[in-house]
Amino acid sequence: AKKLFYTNRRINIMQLIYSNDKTPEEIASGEISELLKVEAASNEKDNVEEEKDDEEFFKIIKSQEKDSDSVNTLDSTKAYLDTSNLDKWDDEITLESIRNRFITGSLDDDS
Amino acid sequence: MSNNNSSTGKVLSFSGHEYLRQRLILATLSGKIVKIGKIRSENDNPGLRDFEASFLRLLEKVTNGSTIDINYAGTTILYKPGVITGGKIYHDCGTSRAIGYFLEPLIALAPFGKQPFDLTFNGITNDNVDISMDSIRTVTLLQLKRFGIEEGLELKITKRGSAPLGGGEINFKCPLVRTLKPIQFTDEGRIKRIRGIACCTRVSPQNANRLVDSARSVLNRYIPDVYIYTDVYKGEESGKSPGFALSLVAESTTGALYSAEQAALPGETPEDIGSKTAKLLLNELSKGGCVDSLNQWLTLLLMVLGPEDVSKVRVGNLTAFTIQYLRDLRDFFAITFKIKSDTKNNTLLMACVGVGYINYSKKTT
Repeated sequence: AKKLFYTNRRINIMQLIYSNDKTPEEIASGEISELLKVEAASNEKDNVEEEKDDEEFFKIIKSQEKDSDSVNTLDSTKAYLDTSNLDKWDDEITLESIRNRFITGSLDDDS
Repeated sequence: MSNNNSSTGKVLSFSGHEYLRQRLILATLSGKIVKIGKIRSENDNPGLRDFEASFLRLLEKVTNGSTIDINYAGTTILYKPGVITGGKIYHDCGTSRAIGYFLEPLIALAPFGKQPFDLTFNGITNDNVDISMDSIRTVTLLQLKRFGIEEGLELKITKRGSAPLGGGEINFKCPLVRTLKPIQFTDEGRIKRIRGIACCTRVSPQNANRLVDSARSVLNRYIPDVYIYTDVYKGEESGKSPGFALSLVAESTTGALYSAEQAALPGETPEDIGSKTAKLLLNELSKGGCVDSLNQWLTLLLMVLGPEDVSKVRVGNLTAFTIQYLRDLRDFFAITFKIKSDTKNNTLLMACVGVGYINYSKKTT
């Protein structure tokens, strides 16, 4: 059963990337595992939301086009680096959480 | 399937000005004709921007026999790629985008030319939109080494130029290869050292020291081996605008590299930039993987171009840019990656079989 679960996951991530209408920004902004859950659970919900979107279809396009030179649509790899939520690195717990990524970290963990 | 792509005959169609560079580069490598429409067609100021036109001109310089048709309004491009020639090329990158915008995609073409690339670019070397020359030199070029592109690879920053007026100059040399090597890079290791470059132009050299101090204050808690060079350019070599920037690189025991960089905007202090860059680096490290988010695309592309053998790499979170890159790689080369998520440390294992790209201009000796 465990094996099956993982194979399903793999296909899901590939599906998410290769056969999905979501924009790359939407996929990248969410935690991948969370997106998969949402995907599986709420196909029905999506339909409802889509209908809602349709009503304001033209408005949405307009607002997107207006700021089409904003950072999100710049053709740059660096634009996707998130500089907005760096405050969490002032927190001692977050700082300690990556201790084991360094050679100075403890050796007896699994990461 | 994605709806902004429909292949009619041999022409691949895309729409939108986003991801323009990668589509042109992939078209050049795969030899496919590509049509890009709806370039800011709804915008008040429609069509190509000057830097995009400049990139098209540059692409014409490094290839032979390619034709680019742009419609009157500049909203549609039809690009028929020729062969990659390379050689000694000079290009003025202007000041609307930094040199990184132009050099970054060309790195993927450079190993497959007829003659070794010898590029001289003029413009902005460090800014906050495009990858800086320091990061290209210390991280991006090292990604190529893993694929067997090694001797003669060089990037020299002869002059620095900060935004907005630029005035920097760089020289990039890349050797030719016939084929790439496949990679198996799934062990991320642990960080053993951190290096960096703090540079400043047309401001007091003291600013560079302040950058170093503030970055070290964040990073020294993890590891003592933090060394940040200060790189102060003076006079003619420091471009036309004042500015300072910091680029940091963390290296792991297995040779994985993670980069972070920031350039100062008007009004920001060196202390802000220093700690911001250091935190960005920590952010990058927390994602894990063997390739940092700035260079995911290059590694994945070179894996696709590699020999018909399995290449594997471990990456942290995929960025939006990379996701679109994966989609474009599928459209141009019909290669899809096997992506497996590793729940243990939240990374992704990506594997693919290369297309066996061969550079026939390079003789086997």
